[in-house]
Amino acid sequence: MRERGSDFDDFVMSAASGLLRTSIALTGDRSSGEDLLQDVLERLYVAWPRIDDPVAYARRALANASANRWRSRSRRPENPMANVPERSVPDHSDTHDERDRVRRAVAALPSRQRAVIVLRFLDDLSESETARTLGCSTGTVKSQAARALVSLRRLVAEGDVSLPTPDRRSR
Amino acid sequence: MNLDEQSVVDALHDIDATIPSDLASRARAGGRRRLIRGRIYAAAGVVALAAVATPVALALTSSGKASIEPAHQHLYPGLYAPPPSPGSECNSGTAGKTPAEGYSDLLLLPPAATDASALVRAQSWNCLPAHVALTALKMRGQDVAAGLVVDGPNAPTPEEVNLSGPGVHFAGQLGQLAIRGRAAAEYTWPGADHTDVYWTEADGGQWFATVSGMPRAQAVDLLDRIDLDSHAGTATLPGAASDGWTVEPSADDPARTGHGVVFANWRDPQAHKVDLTVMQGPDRVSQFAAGAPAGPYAIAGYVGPMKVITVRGHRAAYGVGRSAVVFWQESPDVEVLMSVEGADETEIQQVAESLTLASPNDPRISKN
Repeated sequence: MRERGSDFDDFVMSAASGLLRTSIALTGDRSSGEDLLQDVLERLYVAWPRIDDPVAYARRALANASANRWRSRSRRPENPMANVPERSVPDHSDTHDERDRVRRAVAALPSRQRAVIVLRFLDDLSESETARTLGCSTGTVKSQAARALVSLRRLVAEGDVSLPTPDRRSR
Repeated sequence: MNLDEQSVVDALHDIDATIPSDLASRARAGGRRRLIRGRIYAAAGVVALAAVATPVALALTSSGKASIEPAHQHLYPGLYAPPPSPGSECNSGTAGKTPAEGYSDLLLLPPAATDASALVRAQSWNCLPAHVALTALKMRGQDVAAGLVVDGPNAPTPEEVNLSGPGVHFAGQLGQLAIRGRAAAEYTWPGADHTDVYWTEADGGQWFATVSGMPRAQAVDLLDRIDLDSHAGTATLPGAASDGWTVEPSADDPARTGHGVVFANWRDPQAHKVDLTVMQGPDRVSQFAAGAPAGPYAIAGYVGPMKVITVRGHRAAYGVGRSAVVFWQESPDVEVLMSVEGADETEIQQVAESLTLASPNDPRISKN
């Protein structure tokens, strides 16, 4: 049986950075991402003795919990990413701006599409691994990823990526 | 911008993911509190040994499956609360000043600890635990030598408590055996001194039992001998007295779904960390005593032996481990669970004796 204590701490130290990045990508901002990750790590601590693959468990929990969080919120949360002003004059930070726009577009995707994009493109999971993590078929992963990319291109091309309300996101 | 897949990859990898330095300690502290809270919900509400699975289930269902979903028909609804609707959390509530005023009888705090913090919640209990049909203890002096708790006839299935099912990998030993002629699933936790068994009777009743403090063969033999009455919700152990078992009086099932809870933390004068939970609920000390050696405390490192002692004039269950844990019934409607890190029996009793009722306006109580 896996021991709590130093084992758990070692895991957090080694895996937390990657999981935090996943969490931020799923929630859309650092503050929510940190909150969500701590929540998931607390749950992981409880389940620790019987978890074979803590990273997989944490990813699954992050993906599911992020969707549930949006559903459970009655009001749209403050979201720093949505409030970042667009730069009117291109400068040396173009790359930064473009990446920021992409991240905001990812955050604006419906929860399932967002999870697929994050797991596939950030965590580098295969389609089958993504399917296992999300509890769906590989066909669903493929179709969600394709739809997500179409949406991302549209959102980025439109330029004005603002986060929709939770209700819209969960549809 | 011509968005290709690599652009998405680059954008996501560009996220600053510097982790807070105290993330591990915060997660660990939060996890331990979840274990404590989950355990007292279970102990207070009935389960006792089902608590082995119940807190884990609460955690997993919150993060994975949204809730406990029934895998079987509950044939005896009078003895088992209906499961929560999918998507709901097992426990929810509000915290702050209003609950503090409403639950002033729960505000037990040390009189002098300035480093104390307390949170009061008006708790909704959406996942009522199963009916306990039998609790029995075998004592050796003050020590609990063995414990038996039987839940039914509408106990959760392994799937409902997330011990089994898609995506669940049980790290312990899963065995198949026959109990009373019925196929049963046996879950054994390495290093834990108990056996958990789930089975379905011919009448459709779903049962769960935990036996602690005895070899597996004896545990199976014991479960084979019990008589079950699904309609009455009772389990009877023939010859209990001659076998040295003391059958505990059955406690009432929870009659309400809302109650107050106080969580508090501080350091005692010897600098021991104290974690206190006070909540409303019926007398479950015997279930706790029988179940705790096999409960999550064993998993968390709070390994027995479990003793029955007196705390503040009340019968209490006391467990020894890395942290001492004591659980007692302060009044007919108030339960207290307290853990004191690194304390012995005398020290934890001293901490317990120091508790006094605080005012709802006490500055140590969080107002948010």
